Amino acid sequence: MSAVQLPSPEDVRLLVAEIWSTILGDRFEALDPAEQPISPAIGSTVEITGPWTGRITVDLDRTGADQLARAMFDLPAGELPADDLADAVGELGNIIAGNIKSSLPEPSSLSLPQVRYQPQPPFGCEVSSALTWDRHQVLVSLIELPASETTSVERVGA
Amino acid sequence: MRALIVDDSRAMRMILRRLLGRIGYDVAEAADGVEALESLEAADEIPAVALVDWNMPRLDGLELIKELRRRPKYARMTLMMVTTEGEQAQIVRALAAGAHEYVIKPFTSEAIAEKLELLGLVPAGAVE
Repeated sequence: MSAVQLPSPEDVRLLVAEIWSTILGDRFEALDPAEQPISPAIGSTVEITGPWTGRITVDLDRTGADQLARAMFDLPAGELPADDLADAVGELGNIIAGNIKSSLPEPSSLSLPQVRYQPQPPFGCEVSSALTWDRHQVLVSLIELPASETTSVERVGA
Repeated sequence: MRALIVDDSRAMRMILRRLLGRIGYDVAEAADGVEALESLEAADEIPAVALVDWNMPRLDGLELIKELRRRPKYARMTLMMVTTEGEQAQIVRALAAGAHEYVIKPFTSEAIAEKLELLGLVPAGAVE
């Protein structure tokens, strides 16, 4: 376990809620612990290397990811190109990870986001925050890694 | 006026394009620093401002700014870093390299417009 002070789940919730509100103008609410999180359909991973080395994952259900991408690309309802979906989810992960990094000791570096489909529930996370908006869910997790396990990841679809 | 958006996310380029379009800019885009340099060299008019992301493949935003500052023909182009990187040391590095402004994502439309207005890069009456 890292000696670095990580943001609390509530800190992460507040940060993600602020980001979401800025991008989409929607409000997030903390997920009721009694409510079963749904299986995410798409997610992004960004690695941070520094005094705290780890991975930040942002996972969304498909409809929520669609809504995000349509808002960012200003697209009406209808078919959404897979590349646009991946790009929007990757950029959301990039923004969330960058803002979390700002709360960690300096200096740290940020990888490019990697987009994953049907992501598995993160294992061994230090911090996990689930949020919900308009029946959709977002799960943000911080997972510590030994420095030797970080990889150079590249953005998909950007 | 012309603007160049340099960001590897198409979604972010779209958001910035809408914003700058509302202000009245004619916008060009590039997905990384290499593409930005190619686009600038091919353009018949140097943009008044470039909005530059930091983390990009091939040539990142900091290296792009350093390269542009090495080329006298771009000396009058305003450079605004628009990035998720919020460490103080990084902000200092970007400004020292030649960026005029630094905006941390996520941003509001108003924040970008106000920065441009302060830099004298918004036509009168374009921002309410």
